[in-house]
Amino acid sequence: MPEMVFGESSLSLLHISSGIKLHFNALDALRGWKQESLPPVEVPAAAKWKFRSKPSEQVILDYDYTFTTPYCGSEMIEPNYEKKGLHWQDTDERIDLAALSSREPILFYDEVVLYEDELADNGVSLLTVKVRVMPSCWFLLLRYWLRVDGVLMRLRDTRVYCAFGSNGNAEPVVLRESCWREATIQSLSAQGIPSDSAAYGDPNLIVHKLPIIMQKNQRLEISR
Amino acid sequence: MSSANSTAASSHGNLDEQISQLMQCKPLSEPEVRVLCEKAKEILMEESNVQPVKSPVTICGDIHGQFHDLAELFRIGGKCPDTNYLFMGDYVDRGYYSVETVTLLVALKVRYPQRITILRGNHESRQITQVYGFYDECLRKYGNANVWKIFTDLFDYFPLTALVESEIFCLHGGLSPSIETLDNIRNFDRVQEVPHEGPMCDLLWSDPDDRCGWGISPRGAGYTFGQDISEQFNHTNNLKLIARAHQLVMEGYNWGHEQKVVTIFSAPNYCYRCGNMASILEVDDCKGHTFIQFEPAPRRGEPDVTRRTPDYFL
Repeated sequence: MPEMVFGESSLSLLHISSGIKLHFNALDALRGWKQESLPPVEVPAAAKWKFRSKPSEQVILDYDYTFTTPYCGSEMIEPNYEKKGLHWQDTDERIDLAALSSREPILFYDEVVLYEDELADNGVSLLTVKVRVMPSCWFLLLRYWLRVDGVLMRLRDTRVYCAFGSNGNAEPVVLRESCWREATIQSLSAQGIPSDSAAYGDPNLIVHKLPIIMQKNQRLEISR
Repeated sequence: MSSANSTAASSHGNLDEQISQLMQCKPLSEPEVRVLCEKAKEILMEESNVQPVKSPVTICGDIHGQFHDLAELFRIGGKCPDTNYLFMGDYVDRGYYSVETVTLLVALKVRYPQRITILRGNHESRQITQVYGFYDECLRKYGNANVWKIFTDLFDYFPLTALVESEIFCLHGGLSPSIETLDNIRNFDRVQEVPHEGPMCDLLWSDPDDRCGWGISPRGAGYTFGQDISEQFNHTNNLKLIARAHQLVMEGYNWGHEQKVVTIFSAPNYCYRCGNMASILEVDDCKGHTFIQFEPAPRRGEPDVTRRTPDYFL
């Protein structure tokens, strides 16, 4: 388990009239980690490492200690509501960044850390979700950020957006965009980008330099 | 004779003033740090790799620049030199006041060398402090890296382990497959940067684990040691307990390996957001053990990370 798991923290968004709930929690994210179970990333010191214990007395641990997760949120219908199916369908529709760039007042804002690990002083692994609710829409960002010092940086962002319908009875549309970025420190250095870890406490400083390795755009579909 | 005495008294007077200044979380000047570290080096270089310590003594874990919590620790555990202390490393990085924290501990060491023992943690290194905060803090507070250089040069002299009343073995990280006896540790040259590999690295980096034997970390470097290893080591060296720090534990202390090992962590609400308790271990005259837990000190002037300002993130 990560060093710091905030298992009692979560973010939930409930649509009162339909009972549809989107929620974000550490437990589901860690289920995703377990399922994906990437091979471990070697730190630079590994190259110099010598096995000094007797082979009969040693165990080589090989789990993904970075807690990388494909998690992009959980969804359900609250009990006591009419049962419906929920699924995410690929779409060409995109989150309205223009609307999000307008400085309308933020009515509600919060940031929740779901888990965090210092990788035994070899970097950082952090899963957080932040949300803002404005008069015309709500928007959230679930971000998994990994920096393994001297080795790689990985960013997995999921953005979820919902504009409140202005056209009468229309059901609100919930859009979700996931974007995974990743680069080795070696490839960044080759491009002349500073690669000392101290410069990247905040992933925003490097996000646009990290190449996209996966992207998908989806909308929430409700089947009766 | 009388002139020597008055020199000693005036130098203590100076040091006492510096300690009271540091207790208010005010850093010393660069020349003061330079002189202080020169004196500290003279004292530390005489200490053993396995520094003997007498009870009563209070054993403390990671502090990580959380100065106000260190002040709280002294309020709860008693002032130095009224209480004897043994700190197991990681004074710097991550918190906002690494400079004040490490300067205070070194000043106390110089003033009361028999009353306080300061071991080396894995963060007392040039490489780690450049990534996790101490280097940047020195630049910010002094305008250059001289103070960082002075301290990291001094860290090379810190003892690696201590032995309380021949029965509690104290160190920052843990055991090493290259070390069977305490004499093995006594025999190596510690005055160097913490290496990436080898017994000195293990003492500062390794962790106890539920799995038996030696575990090789999934990172490809670093050992974990099982209960069988702790039992064997304690038996070979006539020890009752291994006390170590290095890992965050939510209650501030955590027993392992059927009470052969204990982890002590003394930074409450670690990184100002983790919500953990801190603790210290008091070993009394009769070698009895008492853990004292404590919470973060009320403080001013530090960002409250639990209340975040809304931002127009995209």
